[in-house]
Amino acid sequence: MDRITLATALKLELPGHTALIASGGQFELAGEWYEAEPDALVGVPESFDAGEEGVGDTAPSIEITFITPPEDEVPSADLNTMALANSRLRIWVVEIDEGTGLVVGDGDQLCDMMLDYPRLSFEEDGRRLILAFVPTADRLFAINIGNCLSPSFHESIWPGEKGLANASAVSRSVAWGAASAPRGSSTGGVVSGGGGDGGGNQLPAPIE
Amino acid sequence: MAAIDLNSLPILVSDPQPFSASGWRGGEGGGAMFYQGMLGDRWRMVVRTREMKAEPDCRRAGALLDRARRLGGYIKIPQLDLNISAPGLPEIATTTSAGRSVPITGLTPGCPLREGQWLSVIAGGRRYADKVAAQVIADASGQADVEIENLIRKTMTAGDTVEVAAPMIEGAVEITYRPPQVIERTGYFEFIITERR
Repeated sequence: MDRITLATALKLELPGHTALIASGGQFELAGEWYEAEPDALVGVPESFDAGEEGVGDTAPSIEITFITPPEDEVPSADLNTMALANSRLRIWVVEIDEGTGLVVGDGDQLCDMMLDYPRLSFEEDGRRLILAFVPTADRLFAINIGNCLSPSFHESIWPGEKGLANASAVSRSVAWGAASAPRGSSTGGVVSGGGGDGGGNQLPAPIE
Repeated sequence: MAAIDLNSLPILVSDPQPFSASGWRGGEGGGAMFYQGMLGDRWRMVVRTREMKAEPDCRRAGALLDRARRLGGYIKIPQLDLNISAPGLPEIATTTSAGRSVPITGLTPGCPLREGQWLSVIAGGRRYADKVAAQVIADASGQADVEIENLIRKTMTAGDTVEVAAPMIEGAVEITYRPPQVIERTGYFEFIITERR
């Protein structure tokens, strides 16, 4: 192998809109057409952060920054909304045949992630949409510790009952010496816990 | 908004160059090298205008370029001393979206497209310029399959105009030098047009 031509395909499945973005040129991958054009909703990917590798009970995460279309085309409220959460992101690196310009094979999938949370940043030279992603496998970290006293659970039983809605800064007590609480993913938006680090527990568990 | 026509600017120097993320990669310390192409290779052109009078030429050129900086612009690619002859009314023969071969029809029979000659195709309302990779001569029906340097970047639909007599480059405009007000009351502009995709 002394020559290779590559491209990247990004597929972001947002509610009611799928962005199919190529890093350059245009090509068909798995029956879908990718073009290096600004997407009507999210615009153009400007940068990808280096990503954080998952270590211990921390999930990997990446952030992608998009230069968005103008405010009058896409209002900020359409971008900075948790309705986008859990949207699926997939990225492939594909090899392009130098002569025909067609994709060789099916491409190599780099990641399969879900949108953790969006945020907007207003820079001197325009608006940016920063999307933080965690792996779809992050869901495997979710722990079910039963029904807990939270506004959402409370309202699921008593619709419209806002008694817990304004409770803030309620800390979760952990007895000294017990296993530490799950730390969650590094981006913090998705509730995803781990088993705790378990280290440093020199004292016996408290008597219940 | 349509891109701004910059052809009223008097060109002194033009320098079309590849705009590319491709290149030879190699290991440090004498490792083997290989060529890594990246889809999306295209062109840009550095332009310097002739010296112009401050009033009204520089004022007008400055206004035009400032508009182009915002909306994009296009300008002819000069091909000094090249005999383009009479190419006819070339257009895309069949819809093409990949590869390096551009099927053109409507050329004057026998019209040559020479190696290194520029052409631009207006596809989807935007120009895509490229260089002819190997000389080809239009057949008796005015058709020619022209090999170009870069992979096709945008689907060219049958009937799209091909600019052979006056190929243009269209894209984002960056002004790299604008004349200050000086006592001699002359000045010139330098700018770069980079194709958008």
